[in-house]
Amino acid sequence: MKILPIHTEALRGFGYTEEEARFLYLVATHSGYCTCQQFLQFVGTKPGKRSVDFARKMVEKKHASSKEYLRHGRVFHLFSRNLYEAIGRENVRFRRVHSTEYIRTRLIALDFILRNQHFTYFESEEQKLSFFCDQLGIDKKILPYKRYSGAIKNNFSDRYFVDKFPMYYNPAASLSCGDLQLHRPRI
Amino acid sequence: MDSFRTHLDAYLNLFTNLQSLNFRYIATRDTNFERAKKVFHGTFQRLWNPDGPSGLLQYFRTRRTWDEKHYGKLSNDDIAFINEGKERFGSQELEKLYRRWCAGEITENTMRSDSLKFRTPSEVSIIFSTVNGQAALFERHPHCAVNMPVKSSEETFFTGDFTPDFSSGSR
Repeated sequence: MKILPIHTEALRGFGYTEEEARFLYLVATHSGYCTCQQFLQFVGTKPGKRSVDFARKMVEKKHASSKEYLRHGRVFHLFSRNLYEAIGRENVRFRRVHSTEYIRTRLIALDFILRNQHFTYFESEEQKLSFFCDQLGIDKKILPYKRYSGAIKNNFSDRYFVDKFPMYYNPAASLSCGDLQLHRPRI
Repeated sequence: MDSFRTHLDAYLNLFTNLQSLNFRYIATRDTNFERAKKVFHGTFQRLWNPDGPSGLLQYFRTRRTWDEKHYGKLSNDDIAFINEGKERFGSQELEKLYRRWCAGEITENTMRSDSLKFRTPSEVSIIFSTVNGQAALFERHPHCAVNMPVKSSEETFFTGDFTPDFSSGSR
């Protein structure tokens, strides 16, 4: 998984360290939710000052809110528009408030990505559309989509792959083979 | 498993346009792995079975009725099925097979056996992964009782007194 320096630079501009910026990029791109435990797993260290500082920074800068769950662990929700805008993800729906079921699914997806960082994931709807339509020549109308109606009557937009489950292309297989890895996180 | 079936259905048309597919099922426990495996393979077995409901044979027959302009024999469901089938069975190989079958060059049995060569995706697999998923956060601690048992003799009743003396005395 490659994270462009331009993105980490943008996040470092908010006062985060390089590792924190890389972690935040993954959260903002794939999940929207994270825990301190996941941050610790990402940086490969034990609980202590680093995780406390990171959590405090996210909340104090109003980039994330935190909610305590049954075992006194906190789940952080990245909601700051500025932060998403900085990495070109201002339109993702992760910023919104979600159900507990949804949050659990996102945490599972993030856990999988953190454990499998050697894969190159499709990071956005545009990347997925480009791969399927332009590279594989698949008609757009057969891709899974959801139609959202706008504020104006009869005005709607189609969004593709709204489930946002992690998806990556296996480079070991030839392009025409279309060996696709699709993931279905399940609680 | 219902949400898993819904997910597969939503992606099925895309899957049929791929040569091979590796599907990963990620969960915090392995409880549903066997059932998911059955649902996954069952979906593709039904898809690949030319004689099955909504299978290739039914698509060819329905489409031939349409192409021969016997519109009166078709219901709205049939028309929807033809449109769906064009996406699912729209490969060039199957199109050729359909033309040859319509022209009477091949029998249904030949068409049935030939269609198996062109099934897509030709290879599917499902891989199971368990992750932590921070699941413990959402579960009550095993030593923490859900409802504290209260004996009827120990039950206290609200006396209507909010004074500080009452509050400190009852602590």
